[in-house]
Amino acid sequence: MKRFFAVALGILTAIGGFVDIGDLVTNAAVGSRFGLSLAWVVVIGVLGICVFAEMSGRVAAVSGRATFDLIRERLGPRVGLAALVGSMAVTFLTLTAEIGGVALALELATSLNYLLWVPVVGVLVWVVLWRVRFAVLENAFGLAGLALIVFAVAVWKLAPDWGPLVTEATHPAVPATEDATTYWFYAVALFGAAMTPYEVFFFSSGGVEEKWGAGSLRTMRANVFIGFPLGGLLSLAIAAAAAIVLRPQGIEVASLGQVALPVLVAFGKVGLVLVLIGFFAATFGAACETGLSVGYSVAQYFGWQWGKFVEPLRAARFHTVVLLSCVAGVGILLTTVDPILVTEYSVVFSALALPLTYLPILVVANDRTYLGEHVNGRVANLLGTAYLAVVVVASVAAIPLMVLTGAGQ
Amino acid sequence: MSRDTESGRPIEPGMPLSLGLRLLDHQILGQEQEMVGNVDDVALEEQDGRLVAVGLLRGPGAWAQRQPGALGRWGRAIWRRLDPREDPRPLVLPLDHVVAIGSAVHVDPWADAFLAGSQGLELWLRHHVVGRIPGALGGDHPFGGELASRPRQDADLDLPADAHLLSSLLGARVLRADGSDAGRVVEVRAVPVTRMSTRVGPLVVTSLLHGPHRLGGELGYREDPQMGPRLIGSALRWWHRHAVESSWDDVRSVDWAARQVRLRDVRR
Repeated sequence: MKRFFAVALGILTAIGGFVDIGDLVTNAAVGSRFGLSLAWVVVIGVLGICVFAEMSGRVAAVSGRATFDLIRERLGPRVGLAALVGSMAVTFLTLTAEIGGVALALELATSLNYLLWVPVVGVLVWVVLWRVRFAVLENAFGLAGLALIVFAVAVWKLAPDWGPLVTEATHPAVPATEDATTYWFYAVALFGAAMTPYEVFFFSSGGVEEKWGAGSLRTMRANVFIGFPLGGLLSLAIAAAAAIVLRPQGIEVASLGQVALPVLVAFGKVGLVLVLIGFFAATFGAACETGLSVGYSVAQYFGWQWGKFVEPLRAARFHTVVLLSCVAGVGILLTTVDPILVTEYSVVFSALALPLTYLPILVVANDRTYLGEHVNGRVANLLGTAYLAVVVVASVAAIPLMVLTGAGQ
Repeated sequence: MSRDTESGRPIEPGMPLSLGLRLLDHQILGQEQEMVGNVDDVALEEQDGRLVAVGLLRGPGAWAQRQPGALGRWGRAIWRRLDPREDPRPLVLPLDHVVAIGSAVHVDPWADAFLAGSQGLELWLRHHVVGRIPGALGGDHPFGGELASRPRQDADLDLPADAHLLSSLLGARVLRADGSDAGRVVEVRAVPVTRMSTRVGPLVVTSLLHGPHRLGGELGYREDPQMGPRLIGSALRWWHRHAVESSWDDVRSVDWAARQVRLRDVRR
């Protein structure tokens, strides 16, 4: 029974923790402009993150090596450094966006300007990373993030005409009002939002934090293969809600308030309360995950002690990196740069940084000296190779598409 | 307990160990799985015509040496400036203190105390920054023992002046006896001097793998012909199809400054 609860808890936190500011904004923006015609990208992206999260989790559970260890040892110190700089920049940008997202959620709740909230949120995130135990951090925000299910309920309550929505999702085509490059730009952005590299850094390092062993593999797989897809459904619900409410009005999403609008229309104040709780938990949880991930990747590259399973004094460099990223993230937001814009850039740059993260995972997941009998099977390898190709294409296409479309304008 | 050597297949005794793939850039772990650095380089010594891997280098000095161009120069200059010693040389941990080599490199208690006590930046931050924030000592104590906060001065394990580095052998140009080009060194294989030991100990270099391409040599596809995914595996094996393994007995000389390996005249 206890085991059942552990698995259930893991799945629930995986669902609630799946969505972050990148998913919220990108899905709503896409829904309001393209309806569900890009839903296929979310499906592909979610399957991709499942494949690679499972691999990195398996390597971490069986060998005790987290993802950036693998990157350094297989790509060497030079290419490894390039991967470190790239993925750290993206993860840090995401951290900045998440802190901004928490502040925006608090602005919606209090009508106090978000800039006043930014320093408060920065301090809160750091305090949580400094003092709160890993399991508490993961479970609390994951469970509270489940409030976002209200989007799915809202879609049902709004009782749309399902026919066209389903047709749009199953027969994707570029809408007449948009041009093809913009469509593909958003496809890459959605893909980047679903497959952000910090998710595997956090997932594999979390496995080491929680002392997974080969016996944890089943629980880990349940989290990944049930929790993540259900989290992906939340992403689709956000897009669908935006397609139903915002698209007919011609509203293009440029603020977090507009993301929440469909729920407000469906449920009024109660809906707003739930959405705000969901926004807060999802972005705050993701801020913690990205903050830790910046520290994890630097520490793993250099071989420093890292992790919340040791007292902070024993991982002084790791905690210094975490502290500095919180400070720098707040600093960037206080320049009054639009957090939504930071989010949009962070998901596109994510797509750029993907190949160097996922190649070493795929390679090491095949290494028998590390994994023994737990090496990749045929399905994992087939999917892994296919996704590596997709990831390379997305990475190459990201910047040209961004320039061509003026970042989707 | 060393998780990686329990569940995964440990490096088999007697089998040559690929130093570039299995040792270089791996995490170093202490007795309680504490992380005490990365293998930033491997020290080699020439002894009566044999080449022996004798120690692991750890620290920013060794790391910077492997970075290209200005980054390497600057990294090294900053490290030298910040090191309190007059003429700092990278720290070397003798392989006698290495207990096992798996997905991580496991060292004995003496070595982990030594390595932990010689991490300048960690100690400085511990003393001046993190230690001053309230709550720095809270949480779990999985490692126990005393926590170093001052640099250790009792042991002198600097890189000897006549030692060579694995990183300068990897990538070195290989020339045949007639002066023709045989590519670059992709991998260096070595075996323990003795198996009658509870430690890894010094490793004698047995062969060099060299070929026209270095890219992808560290991914490990030459080690295990079964290793998947099939597409990537066969692509990399094709890419390295001209790579050959030369026994160390076939090596006439190594010019470390010019990074050149000369082979003997081998008639088949």
